[in-house]
Amino acid sequence: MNDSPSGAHSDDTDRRIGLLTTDLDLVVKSWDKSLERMTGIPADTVKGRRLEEVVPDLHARGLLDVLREPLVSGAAQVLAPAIHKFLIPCPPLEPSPEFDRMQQRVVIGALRDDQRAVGLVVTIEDVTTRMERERELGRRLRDAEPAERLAAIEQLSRLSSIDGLGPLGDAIADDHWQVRRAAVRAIAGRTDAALVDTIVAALREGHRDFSVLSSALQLLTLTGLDLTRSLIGLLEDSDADLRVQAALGLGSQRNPEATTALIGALDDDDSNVCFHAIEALGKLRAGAAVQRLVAIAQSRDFFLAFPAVESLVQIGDPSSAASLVPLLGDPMLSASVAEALGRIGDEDAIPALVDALRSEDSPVVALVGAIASIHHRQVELVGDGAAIEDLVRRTIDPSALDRILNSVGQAEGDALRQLIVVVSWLKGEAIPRALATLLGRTSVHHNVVEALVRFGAPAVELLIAQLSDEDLNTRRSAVIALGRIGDRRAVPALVSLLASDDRDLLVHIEGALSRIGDARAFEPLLLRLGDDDAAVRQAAIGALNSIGDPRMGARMAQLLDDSNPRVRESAVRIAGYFGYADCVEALVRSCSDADEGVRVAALEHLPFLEGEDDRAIRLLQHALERDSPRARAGAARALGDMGTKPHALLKRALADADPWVRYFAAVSLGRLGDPAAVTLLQPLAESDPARPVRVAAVEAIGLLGGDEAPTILSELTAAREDDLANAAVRALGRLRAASSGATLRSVLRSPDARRRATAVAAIAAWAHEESVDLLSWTAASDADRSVASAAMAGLVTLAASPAPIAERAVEALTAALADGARHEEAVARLAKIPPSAIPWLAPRLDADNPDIRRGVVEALGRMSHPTASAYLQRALDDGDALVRKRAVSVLARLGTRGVIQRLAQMARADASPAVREAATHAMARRHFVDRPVTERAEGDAAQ
Amino acid sequence: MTPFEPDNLGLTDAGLPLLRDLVHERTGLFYENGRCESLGERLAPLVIEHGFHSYLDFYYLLKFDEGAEAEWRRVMDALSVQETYFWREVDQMHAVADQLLPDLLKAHRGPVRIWSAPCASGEEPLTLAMILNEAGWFERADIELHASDGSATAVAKAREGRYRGRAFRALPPAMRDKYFIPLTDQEGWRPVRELTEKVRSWSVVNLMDQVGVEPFVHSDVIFCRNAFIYFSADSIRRAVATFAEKMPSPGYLFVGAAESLLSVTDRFVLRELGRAFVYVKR
Repeated sequence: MNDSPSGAHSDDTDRRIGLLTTDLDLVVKSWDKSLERMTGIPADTVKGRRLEEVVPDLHARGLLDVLREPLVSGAAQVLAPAIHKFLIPCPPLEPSPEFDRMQQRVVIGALRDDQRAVGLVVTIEDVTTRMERERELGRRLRDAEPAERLAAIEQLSRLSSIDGLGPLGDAIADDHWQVRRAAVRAIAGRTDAALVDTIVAALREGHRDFSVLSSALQLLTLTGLDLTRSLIGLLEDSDADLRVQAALGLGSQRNPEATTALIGALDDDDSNVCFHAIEALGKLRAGAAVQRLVAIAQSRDFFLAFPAVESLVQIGDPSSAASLVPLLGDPMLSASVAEALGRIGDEDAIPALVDALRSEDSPVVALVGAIASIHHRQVELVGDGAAIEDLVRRTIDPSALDRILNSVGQAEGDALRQLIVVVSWLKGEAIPRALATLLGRTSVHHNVVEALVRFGAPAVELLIAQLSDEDLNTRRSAVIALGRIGDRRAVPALVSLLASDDRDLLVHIEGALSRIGDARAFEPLLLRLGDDDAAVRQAAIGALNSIGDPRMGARMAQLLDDSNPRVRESAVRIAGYFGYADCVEALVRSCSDADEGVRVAALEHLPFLEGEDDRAIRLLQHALERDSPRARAGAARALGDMGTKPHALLKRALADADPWVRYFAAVSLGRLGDPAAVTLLQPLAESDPARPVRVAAVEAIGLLGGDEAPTILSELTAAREDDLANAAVRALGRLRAASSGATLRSVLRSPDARRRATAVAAIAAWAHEESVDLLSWTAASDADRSVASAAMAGLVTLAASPAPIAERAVEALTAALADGARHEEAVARLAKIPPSAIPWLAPRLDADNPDIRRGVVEALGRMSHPTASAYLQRALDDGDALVRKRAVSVLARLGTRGVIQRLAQMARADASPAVREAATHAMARRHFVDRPVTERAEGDAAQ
Repeated sequence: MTPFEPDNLGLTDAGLPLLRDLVHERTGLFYENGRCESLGERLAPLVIEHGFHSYLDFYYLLKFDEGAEAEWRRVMDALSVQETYFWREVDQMHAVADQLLPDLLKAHRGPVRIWSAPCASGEEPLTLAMILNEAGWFERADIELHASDGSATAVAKAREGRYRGRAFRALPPAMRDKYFIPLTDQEGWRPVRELTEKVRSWSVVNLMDQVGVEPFVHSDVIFCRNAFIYFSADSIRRAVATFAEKMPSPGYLFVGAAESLLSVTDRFVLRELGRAFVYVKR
């Protein structure tokens, strides 16, 4: 039995692990002694040769792509012996009754020089003996006697895992409860310390090549082994390079146990060690290191201050932002500090950032970017950034504005976008001129349009001038902006452009005229009703509808008889939309127009003619029996708008030869809402030759419901065609039938992530008691992150359900706060629950787990709801300092009245220095300072 | 009916995400969540023309209808971004003329094949033809220059050969005067025959279509510039994997200045050629 330094006991002896490295072409560069011994292949016979030559059947076994994968994607690969058996074929070191080849567990990772992959590092572990043992014990697990099985489990628990759970996986399902319990405990207690120590020792002894060491450590990290204790030991080594690698490795491990040791390493004599310790603390998000890191940043040490700032950002403690603000004045650090403030600062950092812009050589882009980032975060958290916009507008210096506008011309990408956002808050004649130069930049034209729209009327003349720019994108953006500003001064220019037949812009011009709604566009728009482009016609129709000119009825009556069928069709759409009494007969005649497009438009508008239902039904019937496929499809669609129940007609349409007629007939039946139609739709759903028809029938059945619907839909969830199956799943969810549970559970186990995602949405819509359990389980365990995230979103949906379900959904979301990997998402989701669910969340302020309490505080803070804010004050008395500190920050951000005295008391007397500091900081915030002390005290007393 | 808003032309968004995924699967073009509206804007005319009220109906047509293939060509036309001009990012083309061709021809038997894809309305292959012609390559060596684009409209424009002012914004005036003739209607310029005959073929090819790319993908040099910026990571991998599998070795792949194959493949290695970068197939 080995006692590893980490203290774990193991039955594993003679752990044999070899290591080789290659270059990018898989030419072997190193082959260690252990590997020589294991494989019997001397190093000098393989070094310099390609791996495919050393192992000729690599390609045939499909292993070449696996070997290359880390070079392509960076992801380490593990070859499990159960599947691959071995990488390098060789006999076992001792004769084996089970295997004629050595069984090998292989881990393959990218060998890195700095950040660049330069080859592979491969560890090969001989697991033959362990596999023999595992097989033997696995056989004993099938023994009739529980005592034998228990003994086997006990021995398996002392064997380190080769590959997943092994035989213990089966034991979880044992009939005997004691065996099951022992299996679960055995799995939980597994450790691989012996392997860790072996590899670390091997590297320490044999590999002074530190890129190898670094890559091997990364590799081991990626396989999920915990190296923390071994690496902490290495932090004390006399060799500075090893201490560097230890710090690097501890950062990769992300085990908070390393924090204290890493903080200690900040005092290392070697600055490289300090550097990597700083970085590691950032990766660990070690809140305990904030004070030390702030001090390092403030030291302005050229080598260490930058990583200290970056690590503070990663730790994300907003209270460190205040300490960084003075560094904005340091030319070396200002850009870096500005970026940091952008990521962790709040509105309190804004004045300093604006002030820093006064300096001639200020890093304008970084400062403005920080302001924009803080604003964005404020909008995300509390829905409103107006206070920041106002603050910037009031305090910005004219010279700073000039510097910002000068930067606009040179910036690109996100930096440019952020400059535009901030500029849009400001006033000044130069601003719209500067923005107008960017109208043609497709990557930012949305932002520029938004900014100019905010500017409003003063930008109109400038935008009108842009309508004649040579660049199409500039003209297009100007048209859109003018439409959204809605100033009538733009109408003559837009009308002129409409007449110039600038084909790429017509739809946008019509859209702009629609928004402005000026009657001067009426006649020019009429001229577009016959355009060859359907979108141009449609946009003209929309614009005319929006203008609503009193002349329209009379003009439509004329145009309904126009010689151009496109004009007639457009006139039908307008006259049908408004239902002009004078146009009714002409509309009815249009149902038999020579042009199909006119007929289709007329048929679709029949249901909207008042008092004409009987005639409409006759005309639609006629079309269904005699007209072209497109007209029949239009008629089938129109029947869905009839208040009367034209089932007989739609039933006939379901048997039409054209699939689109059947499709729209199914859609219409769904809209009419009569469950009796399910029997008509079922045959289509099950066997129509056209898939869209089947899907439409399924969706219609889902809308109609009825006794048979759940059974029909459940069967269809197993359809091979994705569209059909997914439609059936969605429809089941909408039906909310109690019997749908079994089917939805089954779909949730689909190997296809998209199918599971559909099931998640359906389960949320189903809103059954069981929905909460299914979604919580999926959120915690689905292998696909998007599915897990959708499940969390589903729980938020359920929080709007009636009480028992809402309460359990909120409980499930708060449980996720305890999971470090899901904490942030759980906070974001909880912040979106409806106000009605807040009472279910508030009691979680008493949860045992402080991470849960802290998350609840943050979520309540983001809701910006009076009820939520009232509950927050309880958290000021929490037993955990981090929870109290978070409550202080949140209440300060909200500017909640009535807490100032409590904050003052905490600033003086809280047991935690960090809480005292946060409370002091909160007291200094603007919305508290701006009120005179007496007024504050009186106001608070009144509370 | 969906109320008409200037921005939606009366169409519901139902089905737009499905349509987005279908377009991605078929063409490689990807519209992430923030750009879905842009996809809708480009496809709205097609949807309206069919008399549909939602993108979902159009999705079914593209996926299942018998006439879908013809419709897909119209979709490619609607989605292709045709912003280009002569003499764009010419360092790479000079690198071909000055460094690659001499090396290739030393070891080569048979013609040197160059493929420009996507070629948009022809500015890129014609620019390359100008540069190679100026260096005298067409007289000294057998060079096959082929051009293709996923948009039939773009290829038609390229064949028509009519270009307006903005296409020439980066072209040295002397080159324009040498290789282009003003049109009599003063509506632009057209390339001289001596130039257009240097491009052996103009084809409609979808980079995701294994059959469609087959005649061209075995080229020694491929210009695939400013296409991947519109593709998803998965589509880029698929296209590049095809290039890696089919191109000769060495083969030279040029991508746009804002594009990179880092973390896409290890089958190509990045090489610097003067002021240009090229990916060389191993």
